[in-house]
Amino acid sequence: MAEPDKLEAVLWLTFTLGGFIAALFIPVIIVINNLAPGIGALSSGTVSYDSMLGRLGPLARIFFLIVVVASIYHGMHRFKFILFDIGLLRFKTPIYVLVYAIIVVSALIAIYSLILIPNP
Amino acid sequence: MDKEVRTYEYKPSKTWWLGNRRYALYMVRELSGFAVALYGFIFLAQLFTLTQGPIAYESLLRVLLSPAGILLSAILLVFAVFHSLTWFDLTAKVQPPSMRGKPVPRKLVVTGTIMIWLFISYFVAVFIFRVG
Repeated sequence: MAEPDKLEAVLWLTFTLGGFIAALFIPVIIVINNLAPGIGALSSGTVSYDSMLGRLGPLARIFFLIVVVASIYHGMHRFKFILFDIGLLRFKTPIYVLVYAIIVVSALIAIYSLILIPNP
Repeated sequence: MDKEVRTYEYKPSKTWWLGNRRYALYMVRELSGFAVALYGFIFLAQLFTLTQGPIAYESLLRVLLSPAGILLSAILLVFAVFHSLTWFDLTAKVQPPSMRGKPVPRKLVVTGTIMIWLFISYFVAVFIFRVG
């Protein structure tokens, strides 16, 4: 009997967790951060440079780091299967490498940004 | 003597998912996951430009709050809400909770999850974004 693939299990578990985090938080972030200021339902000052710095305390930084990385991980994991579904399964290895490289680089940029964003 | 093993290789057409409404919906659901990642990249760009100073951040903000940026946000919101609803529905199917040994009706689980989701959204708006 084949051994269970532990790495694959971890990847799917992280995917599920990412799906939940994205499902709970991404819609409200799109509304408050982009759509409402864009259509004038909220003042554009809500997302000005100073306002953003003002709300980025330590806990908010950790929260945004988790949401951004979880969403990118979840979406890219699914995107990989979209590519397979439309007939690109023969490129499985390069797609895996590309997708996980994008996730890792995004996570590093998120960590870098949230550490270096100046305090208000 | 080694015998050559020939395995069947399934090669679906690139448009197999257009042949059936359920398959097409499956693909839209998968795409909604990608839309969530796409917004993750946009938000990441916003966070990165905050490290580059007010001029870089405000330049990106102008693009995001332009008519094209608003349209993109609206499309991503539709996909993100679709992703949330299908995700909650899926979770209720995969791991149905039970009460006193009886399964809780799926509609009730999904409705409850949506109520919790709305409450969390309000919490994020008020306590993280400090709106209102």
